[in-house]
Amino acid sequence: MAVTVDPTLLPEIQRYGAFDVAACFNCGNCTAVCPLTGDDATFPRRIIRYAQVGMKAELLASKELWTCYYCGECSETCPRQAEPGEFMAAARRFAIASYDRTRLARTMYLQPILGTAIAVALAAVFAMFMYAAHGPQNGQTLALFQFIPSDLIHSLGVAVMVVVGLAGLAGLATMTHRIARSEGVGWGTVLGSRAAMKRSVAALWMALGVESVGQRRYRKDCEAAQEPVAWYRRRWLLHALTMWGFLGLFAATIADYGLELLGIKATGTPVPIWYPVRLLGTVAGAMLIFGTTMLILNRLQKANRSVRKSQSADWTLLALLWLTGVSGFALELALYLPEAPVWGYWVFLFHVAVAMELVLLAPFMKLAHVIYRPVALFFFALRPTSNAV
Amino acid sequence: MAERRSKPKGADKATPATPATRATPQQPVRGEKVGVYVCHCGGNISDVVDVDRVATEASQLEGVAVARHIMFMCSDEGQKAIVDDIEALGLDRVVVAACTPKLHEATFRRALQRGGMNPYLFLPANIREQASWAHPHSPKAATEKAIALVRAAVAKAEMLEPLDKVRVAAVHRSLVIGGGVAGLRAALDLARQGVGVTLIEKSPFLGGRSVQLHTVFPTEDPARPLVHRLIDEVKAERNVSILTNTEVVALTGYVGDFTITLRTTPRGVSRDLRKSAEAIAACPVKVANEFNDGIDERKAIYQPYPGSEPDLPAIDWATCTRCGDCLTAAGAGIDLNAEPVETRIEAGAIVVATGFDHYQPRPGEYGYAASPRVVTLPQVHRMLDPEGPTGGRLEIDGRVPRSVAFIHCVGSRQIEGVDEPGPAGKLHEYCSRVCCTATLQAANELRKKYPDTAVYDLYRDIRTYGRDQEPYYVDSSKKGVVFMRFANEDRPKVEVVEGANYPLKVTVTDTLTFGAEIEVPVDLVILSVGVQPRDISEFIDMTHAPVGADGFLLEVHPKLRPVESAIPGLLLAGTVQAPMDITESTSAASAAAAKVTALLASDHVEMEPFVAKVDPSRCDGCGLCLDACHYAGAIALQDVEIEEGVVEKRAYVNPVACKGCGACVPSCPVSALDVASWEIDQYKAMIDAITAQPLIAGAR
Repeated sequence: MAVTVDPTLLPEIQRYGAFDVAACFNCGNCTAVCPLTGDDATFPRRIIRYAQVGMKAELLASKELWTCYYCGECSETCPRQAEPGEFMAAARRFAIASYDRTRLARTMYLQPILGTAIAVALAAVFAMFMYAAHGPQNGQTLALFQFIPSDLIHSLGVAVMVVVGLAGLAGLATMTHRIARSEGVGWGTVLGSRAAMKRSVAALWMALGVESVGQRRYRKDCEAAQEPVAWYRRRWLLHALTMWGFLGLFAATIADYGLELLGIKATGTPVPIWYPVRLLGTVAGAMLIFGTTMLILNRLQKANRSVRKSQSADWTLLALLWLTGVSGFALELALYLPEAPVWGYWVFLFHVAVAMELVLLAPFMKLAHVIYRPVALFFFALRPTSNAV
Repeated sequence: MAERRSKPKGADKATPATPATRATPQQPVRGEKVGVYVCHCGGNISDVVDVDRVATEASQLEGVAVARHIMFMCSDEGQKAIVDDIEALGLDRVVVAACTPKLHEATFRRALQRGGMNPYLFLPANIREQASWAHPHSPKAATEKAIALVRAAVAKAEMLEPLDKVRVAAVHRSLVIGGGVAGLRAALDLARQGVGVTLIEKSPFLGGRSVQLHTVFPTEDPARPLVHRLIDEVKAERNVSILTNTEVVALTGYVGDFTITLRTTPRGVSRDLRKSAEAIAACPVKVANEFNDGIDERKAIYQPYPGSEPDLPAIDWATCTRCGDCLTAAGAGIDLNAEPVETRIEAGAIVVATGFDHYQPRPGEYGYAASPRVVTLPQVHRMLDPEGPTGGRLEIDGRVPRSVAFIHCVGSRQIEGVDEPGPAGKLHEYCSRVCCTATLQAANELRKKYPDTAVYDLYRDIRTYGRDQEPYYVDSSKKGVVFMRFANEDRPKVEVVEGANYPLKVTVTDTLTFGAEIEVPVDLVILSVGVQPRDISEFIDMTHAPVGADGFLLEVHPKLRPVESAIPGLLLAGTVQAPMDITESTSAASAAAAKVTALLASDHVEMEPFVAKVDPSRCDGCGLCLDACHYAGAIALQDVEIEEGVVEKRAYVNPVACKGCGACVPSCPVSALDVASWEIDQYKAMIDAITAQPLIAGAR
C-alpha cells in the first residue's frame, strides 16, 4: 500500500518539542546504541522516518513509541545532534494529543500558559465548588467531613472518575484500534483459542506486571545505558517510587472508601499508624513525595541527559503529583496533632482539589502514559518485532 | 591571428643520428662484461629467494664479469656499486635483478650514465613481483625462477645496443582548445609562464558551461563575474591570441612540432554594429536557446547574455536565412556574406579543454518530455538566475511550485538491464560527481527562496565529497528537505495525474523508510542530469588520443601522470577527461599548463628511443607495414639508393611519430622490422636462456 507524503507532520510534531530532528539523516547510530532495539534493527529511526515522510497513521499505530524510556543514549550518540530521544518524547506527546478527541491535551501541550491557567482554574473551581457547601470547622478535632461533606467529595470523585474513564477509554480505544490494525491483531488473535488466551494472559502479565509495575526493561536495559548516579537518584527508582506511591495512594483512597461502604470504618476516622490502609497511604505517600521531589530536583539541576530539556507538561505533572503528596502528608500530620489546627481544613480542601484535578486531567497530559504505555507493552509482548510498513 | 613559421616541416626535423633509424646498422657489439646485481629489497626478495645462489649462478654465466647481491640496489650504496664496477671492471652491460622496472628503471639508467655508459645498456630482471611476491610459499621454486629470469636478462642484455633519446626541436607555442573555465585557466598559466598560446573556442562566446550558472558551490560566488575575471586576465596577456567560432580541422606533426589547421567561421557581426538590440529584434528566426537549456528561444542573431565575451552578438549560420532584416534594422556592422577562414598554426603542445555535455534524458525517462513539468537541473539553474530568462523566478504556469522533487543520478551510474543505453549504445556507468552538491545547492536555494515549497530529494547514493560541500547536506536537512532513497534497480516512477490537485505523482520505494512505497504529489520534477563526454570524435580521429570505456579522454596513469594523454604533447584539462567541478577543472588545467611549460622549457623535446627500426638490407619496399601502422606519418616508403644508380622504395620509420607499439613488426613478411630494445632475436635469446635448464617442477 502506497502512502502519500505529508510535509506538515514533522513541523506539527516539532511543536511538541524535538526541534532538531530534521537534521536526522537516517544513519542508524541511534538504532545501534539503543538498548531496546529489536532484531529488525529499526527502532527508533523508523519512527523518526515516519515523522520525516509524514506517515501519521503509521506513527500513531506504533507500539514502539511507548517502549522507549528516554535514556538519552541515542541523543548522546547522534552525529547530527538531531536529539532522537527528545523526538521520541515529542512524538509521545503528539500521540497523547492525537488519541484525545477533545483537543484538551493539544491545548495543554501547545499552549503552556493557557494550559497552566486551565489547570489552576480547574483546581480553583473544584475548591470553590466544595467550599460552597462547607460546614463549620471544628476546633477540637479535625472533623474534615463536617467542613466538606464526604458525600459531596465522593460524588464529585465518582463524577470525575466517570469523565476520566470515558475520556481515557476513548483514547485507549483509538490507540488500541490503530495498533491492533497495524499489527494485524484481532479479537481472534487475543481470545480466539485457548492458546491465544494463554498467550494474551502472558502478554498481559508482561505488560502490566513485569514491565509496568516491575519496570524490568527500564530497570535493566535503560539504566545500563544511563550515566552513573547515586542509587537513590536513579531514574527508574524515582519513577518506580513515584508510580508505586501514586498507585498505593490510589489504592488506599479506594480502600478507605470501600471500608466506609462496608461499614467497617468511616472515612476520616483517626486510626493507628499500623492500620493497614493508613500504613499503605503513609508509605505510598512517602514514596511519592521522595520520588517526585527527586525528579523535580533532577529536572531543575538537569542532572542527566534525559532531563536536559523540560516541557511545561513535565512540570505540570510533577507539580500536581508533588502537591498532592505533600498536602496529603500535611493533612495526615494535622489529623494526628492533639489540637485540630485551622490550616488543616484548608490543606484538606487544597488536597482534595488537587487530587481531583490530577485524576481529571490524566488523559490530557503526560500522565496519560499510565494508560497508553501498558497497551503498547501488551502488543509488544504479543509480538516484539516491528510492524512492517 | 595564427602565426606562421618559415621552418620547413618533415622528417628531417627529428635528429637523424638515432640508432633506431640508422640507414646502415653497424654490426652490433655483443656484451662481454655484464654486471649482475641481485637486490634483497630488504627481505622482500631475500626472505623467499636465495639471493646468494642467484648471484652465484649468474656469476657462472658466460659474459658475466661480476655478480653481487646487495640489500637495497636502489640505495646510494647499490647505485655506487654499479658505478664503481663500471670504472674498475669496464662493464659493458648491466642487469639489475630487483623490483618492477616501473619503480627504478630510470634510477639505474642514471647510474649507468654516471658511470659513463649508455643508459640503454641496462636491463632489469623483475624477481620481486615475478618471483618472491608471486611464490612466497615456494622458496626453492622461486629461486629457480629468479635464476632463470636473470639468465634470460643476461642473454638479452648482451644483445642490447646503445640508444639515444629521440630529440625533436620544440616550437615554443601552445594551442589550447576550448574557451571554458579550464581552457581559460590553462591559457592564462601558459602565458604567464612565457609560453605563447592560441586559445580557440568553437562557439562564438567564451566562458563555456560555467557562465550558465548563477552561483558556484561551495563559495556561493556569482558565476559569471568569476569567469569574466578569468577572461579579462587572459585578454590582458599579450602572448595569447583568442579565436572564437574556431575549430581544428586538421592536425599533423608530433610533440614539439604540431601543425594545426583551424577553421574560423565568421561572426557575421563586427564592432561597427551599434544597434544590436534592433538587429536581434528584427530577426524573424526563432530557435531553442541552448544557453538557457531550451527553456526559451533565441534569434538566429543572438547574444547569450549582456556583457558576454565578446560583447557582441553572433550569427548562427545553421539557422540564419540570410533574409537581411537584421542589417536593415541595424544599418551597419553585419556581414552576411563572410566566408570561413582557414589558418595554419604551429604548436609544441596542445591542451585539450573541450568540456562536457549535459546528459539529455530520453523522452519518457522519469516523465521527461511527457510533461513540461519535468525539467532538468541545468534548466532550473537558468530559471534561478536573476539575470536569466525568468528573472530568477522558478515558476511553472505562472505559479511557484508548491512541491518539488529532485531525482538524482539521471544519466549517471547507469546499470545494464535497468537503464537504456544512449544513442551511442553506451551506458553511463560512471558517477558524474558534481550533481549531488549542485542538487543540494538548488534544493537549499528553493527552500530559502520559497519557504512554502516542499522539497523532496530522491537519491540512490549521495556524496558531497569536496571541501566545504558537506554543509550543503547538513543545511538541506535542517531546512526541511525530505530525503528518500531508492534502490539501484527500483527507480522512482513519475506519472502525470490529470485533474488531481498536484499534476505529477512520483512513486518511490523508499529504503530509508524500510521499503515503504511512498507517493509524492508534486508540481515539478527536477532531474539531476549527469555529465557526459562531448562528441569530439573528429579530433580523436586526428590525434589517436586514447579514449576510456566511458567515452572521456584517457590519461596515461590516473595517479602518476593524471593530465597527460598517451599521445606525447597532448594534455588534458577539465571535463574532457572526466566529470569535474570548476575547482577540479582549473586544477587540471593548471597542471596541464605546467606540463606544457616543462615540455617546452628547452629547445628540444626528448622521447624514449624504443621505436621501430628497419633493416634496409631485408626490406623490399612492399609497404604492408604502412597498413599495419596506427600512427600517421610513423612509417613511409622512401627512395633509397641501394647501389650506384639503383633507387628503390624502402620503409622508413619516423622515430618521432612512431609510438613503438610493434604492430608493424609481425606485418613484415621478410622480418625487416623490429622495435629497438624489444627485438625478436633478443626474445629468442631470452627463451633459449630460460629453457636451457629445466625448471624444477613443484620444488619447495
